[in-house]
Amino acid sequence: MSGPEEMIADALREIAAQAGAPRAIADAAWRAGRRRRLAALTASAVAGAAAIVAAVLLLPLAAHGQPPSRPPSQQGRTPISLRSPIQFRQVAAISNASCPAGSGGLPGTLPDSATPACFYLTGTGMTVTALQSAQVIPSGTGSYLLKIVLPPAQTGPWAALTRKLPGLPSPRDQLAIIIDGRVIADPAVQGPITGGTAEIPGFATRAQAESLLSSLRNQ
Amino acid sequence: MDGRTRRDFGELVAARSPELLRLAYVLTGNQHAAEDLLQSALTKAAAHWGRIHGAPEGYVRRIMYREQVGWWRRRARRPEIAMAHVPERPARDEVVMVEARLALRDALLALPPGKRVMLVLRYLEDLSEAQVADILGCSVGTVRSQTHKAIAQLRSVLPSRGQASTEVSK
Repeated sequence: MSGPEEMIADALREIAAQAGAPRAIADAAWRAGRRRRLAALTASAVAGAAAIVAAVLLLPLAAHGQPPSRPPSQQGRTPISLRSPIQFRQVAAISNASCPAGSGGLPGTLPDSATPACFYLTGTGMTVTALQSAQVIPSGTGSYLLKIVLPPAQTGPWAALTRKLPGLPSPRDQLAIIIDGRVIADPAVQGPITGGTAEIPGFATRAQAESLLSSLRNQ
Repeated sequence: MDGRTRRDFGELVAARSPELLRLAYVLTGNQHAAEDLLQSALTKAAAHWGRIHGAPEGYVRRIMYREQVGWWRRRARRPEIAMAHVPERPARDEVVMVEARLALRDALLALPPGKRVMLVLRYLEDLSEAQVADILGCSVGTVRSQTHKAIAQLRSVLPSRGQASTEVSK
């Protein structure tokens, strides 16, 4: 008769057959994917995954009705100088393959953390060499966000840059976040971000977010 | 372009949801979690739809597998799904066999999701250890040891008498 593998496969098949009919989810998933991007998702903590950031969401804080939560006493007092600058540039195109030599694209990965992708960028974007503040906060869905606040002088350019993107056809509504020549995330921008803040979620653990932060920080 | 990919997405979901939901169900063990998992994977796929070339369904499946493995890691200390009670009644061979099957099903549902992912990929999807390692982004050794542990866990709850036991012991 059948071996244990077949018995297991049969039992798994039986379990699968218990699933009810799917609800109509295409529209909801599509809307959530296109408009809210990866907001509700948590990153997969996959063994050996090199990419720390699986998903990024940039949100105007006003859209949440939340004031910036850092203590006022910290504002403007202890800017964080960065060892590696963080660059933000508009995405022009993305191909799901490693960058060919001389293509001018920058490497990154698709959100399954495994498929290599090549990001082609446009515009000068902006480069950040210091942060006003940075903190790791729980996302409320089991993962963590790295919330950064740009220096006051860059709040204006940041708002201008993020104002151009919402509503453009994908992927031109996405902003690549580049560190050390690698696209660590490519969030779609939903609206102009006037507070000088950016939220980088998708860290499975607080330690992962802190690790990225400390690797950026100038000692 | 956006309209066309939107239609493709709708077509994939319409055509493959039942099958994808069955996969999500066997991965999670209940309808609600299965719907959440599928919805979450489809949302993720939709967000990057324009640049998934080749097999979008494979992409969706991979996301589901990986999310399950991730949950398993993060939730390792949480209690697992309670195992259904296996009735202890004296019975004929046929009933013993039925009970053995039910016990196996319960035991599969009681496995940590990450271990169940291994069994689903290896035996339901019938993939090689190397293919599973590729999908989950882990080493072949991890696939082998997790699969082995999962089977060992199943063996301990399988009936130790009658035909079933000889089939199950290697």
